[in-house]
Amino acid sequence: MLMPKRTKYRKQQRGRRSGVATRGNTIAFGEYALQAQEVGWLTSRQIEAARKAMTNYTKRGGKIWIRVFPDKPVTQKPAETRMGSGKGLPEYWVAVIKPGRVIFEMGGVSPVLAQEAMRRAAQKLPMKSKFILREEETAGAAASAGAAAGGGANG
Amino acid sequence: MSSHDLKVTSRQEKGKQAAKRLRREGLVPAVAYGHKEEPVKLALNAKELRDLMAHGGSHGLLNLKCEGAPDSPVIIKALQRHPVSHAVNAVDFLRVSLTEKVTASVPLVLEGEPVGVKMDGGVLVQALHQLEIQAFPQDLPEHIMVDVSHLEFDGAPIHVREITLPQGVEAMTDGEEPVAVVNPPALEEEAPSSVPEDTEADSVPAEHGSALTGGTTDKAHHTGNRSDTGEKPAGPDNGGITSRQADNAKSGG
Repeated sequence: MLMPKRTKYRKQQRGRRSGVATRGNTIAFGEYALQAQEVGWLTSRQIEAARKAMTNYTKRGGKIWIRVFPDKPVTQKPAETRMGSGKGLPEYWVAVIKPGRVIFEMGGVSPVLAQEAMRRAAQKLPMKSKFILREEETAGAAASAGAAAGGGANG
Repeated sequence: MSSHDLKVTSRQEKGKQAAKRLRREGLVPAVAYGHKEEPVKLALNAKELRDLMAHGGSHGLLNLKCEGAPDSPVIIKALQRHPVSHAVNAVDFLRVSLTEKVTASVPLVLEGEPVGVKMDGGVLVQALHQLEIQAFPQDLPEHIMVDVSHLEFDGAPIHVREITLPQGVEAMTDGEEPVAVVNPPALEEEAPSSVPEDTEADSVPAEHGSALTGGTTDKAHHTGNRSDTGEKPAGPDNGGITSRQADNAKSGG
């Protein structure tokens, strides 16, 4: 399972999870992606389960990219413990997911196969997600053009 | 390549609130700039823009038709989308001259099934999705097709220099950059799954403890035993509670 090799501090505060994903919200490597539609914490176990579901369905064909990394430790107090005596122990790792975040990407397979594989992966996730294609996402967004000669004012 | 016409209206108000108001009315805020002229604030119909992009008109030359102003040839320089809905939030148009070359990125579309995929079961991986090209605005293609049918299993990739470009189009991307390659299927996928099994095995004795104590902690390094680190705090706490509960029970009874 994914987890950091070492961190500076053992425990973190929970933080707020408002807003949308301002980074990691576009397809960068593959042709298809699974994009989160809701906010949530994605544990390393869930990531691994989803990855296995996809790999198993594609029979190891294609290529999968995991675009999130669980780098936030979550602590829990042991069962039947009274309140107080400090923060609990780190139990598992999560990735903070905001709407729009691309969680998985896939390439080298047909769209039908990719969609079914990602549907199976989505069932392992704790939030709503959507299957997206590169064409839909980047249609028209690419012509980052600059005049080669005589490019004038900008605004 | 023929240019597409796009109807726009000029607008005066600017800012976040005005832009939101426009979007609510089914319009998209836009701006046209470049070619040594002042920037002009525009608005266009969101549906018309969607239709235009659906027909691949977003990568080539556009002809902006604005009431009370002469038609102006532009290309889309930037397009902002909402991260979740993918709706277009704003468009930047760059004015161009039909006699001056412009640099633009166009999508690369792979065609054909590679031999390495058909015969040997390899995986086609596209490394480059956009190609930067230089051409006259009227020559800008909507996309560039790349024939990958001759790619062999685990063989040499197709490079940018091997792409056949339309007439009048020049590639600005480095010629040695790989575009597509046929890789062996991912057999090493088993490797990461073996790691968690080990980790889980370590964490099993710790039951109440942590499955990741070894990941970060300094305590874990000091004690040297993951399961110890996991259980130690739990033990005394539980013991304390039990004795307190016993005392309460005695005093109460």
